[in-house]
Amino acid sequence: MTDERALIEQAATGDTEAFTKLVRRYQDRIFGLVMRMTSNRDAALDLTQETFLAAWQNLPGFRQESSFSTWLFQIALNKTKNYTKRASRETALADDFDQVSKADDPEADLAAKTRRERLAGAMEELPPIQKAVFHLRFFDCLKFEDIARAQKTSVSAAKTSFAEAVRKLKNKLADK
Amino acid sequence: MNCRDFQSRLDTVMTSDGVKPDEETRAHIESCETCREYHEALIAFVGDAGVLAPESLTAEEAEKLIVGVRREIASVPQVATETSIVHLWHWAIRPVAAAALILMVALMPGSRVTSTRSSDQRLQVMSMTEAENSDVMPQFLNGDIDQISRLLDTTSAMYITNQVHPAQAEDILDNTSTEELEYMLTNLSAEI
Repeated sequence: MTDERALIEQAATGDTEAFTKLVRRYQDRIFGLVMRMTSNRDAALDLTQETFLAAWQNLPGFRQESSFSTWLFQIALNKTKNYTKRASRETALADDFDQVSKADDPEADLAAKTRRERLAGAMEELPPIQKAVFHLRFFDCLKFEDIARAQKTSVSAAKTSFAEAVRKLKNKLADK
Repeated sequence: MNCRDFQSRLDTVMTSDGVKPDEETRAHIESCETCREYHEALIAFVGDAGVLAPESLTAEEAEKLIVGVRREIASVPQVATETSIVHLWHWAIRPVAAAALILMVALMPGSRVTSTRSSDQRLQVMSMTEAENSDVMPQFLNGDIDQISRLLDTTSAMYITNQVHPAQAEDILDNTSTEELEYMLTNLSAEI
């Protein structure tokens, strides 16, 4: 039995020390994903904590059919999705105004940025699904099967999202 | 397999660790200048994309998070072994899934039912016995969590679209949390 498997099984029986070790092991990866999705550090910290809390509560039902990390990513993505829905509802009117303002002169903004800043900006502009898929594949090196499971989508859809994200980022780099 | 296929393969084997093509793709790259250039561009992209590296927690934030999680889990009980989705499946999703299945069959080309609002269709939607006797149901009953989750989305979409708020179904689904949807399905299933 692997070290992680043992920790999961102990945590599933209520062992808070074992669970704390799992939190230490994954907190950076979960925070990185949530931070990418929200671009809001305070919200990302809260959502990371909520993710682990939900994982703790549901751990007895985790049957290890997927990897623990995939399962955590799935919880984090659900939490983030609900957060962004709430946030977008609360600021709908303000957003409408801001988006019009931002759209006034996007090219001038981009021209002022360096090549790498453009890429970071392009990443921000990706639709949430593409952003999440790119992050999970590129930085967490997850298999497309695991990404599909975390996103509750098909493998081919995950691959398409990844390819589309890469295409957009590459285009932005080529856009001198 | 053509160059486009090989380039797609290269896209899917690219991570921040580099581009790691399989042997077949590697052999093709060696003999194809176009794909070699594509491969080199991808390697350059991996280097450039380093700027997108995810942000990390500071040591202080990491410790604060640990303290917060430990404090919370001390007062929050773990749920029973049976997952909520499985539990939900037994007493809420299953009847609605059955209803949606009948609806799907009714709407298939060649079906006698043509109107989505007809009273005949409503009778068919309510027919649990017919749904459970159908050959299709066991596939869903033996489905894994992912299948059931997808079914939940399909089912609730169809149910809401056709039975509850036809004009605003999409809006409802877009603005309904999982918890709200589960609650809604519970109530709807009680009506069937």
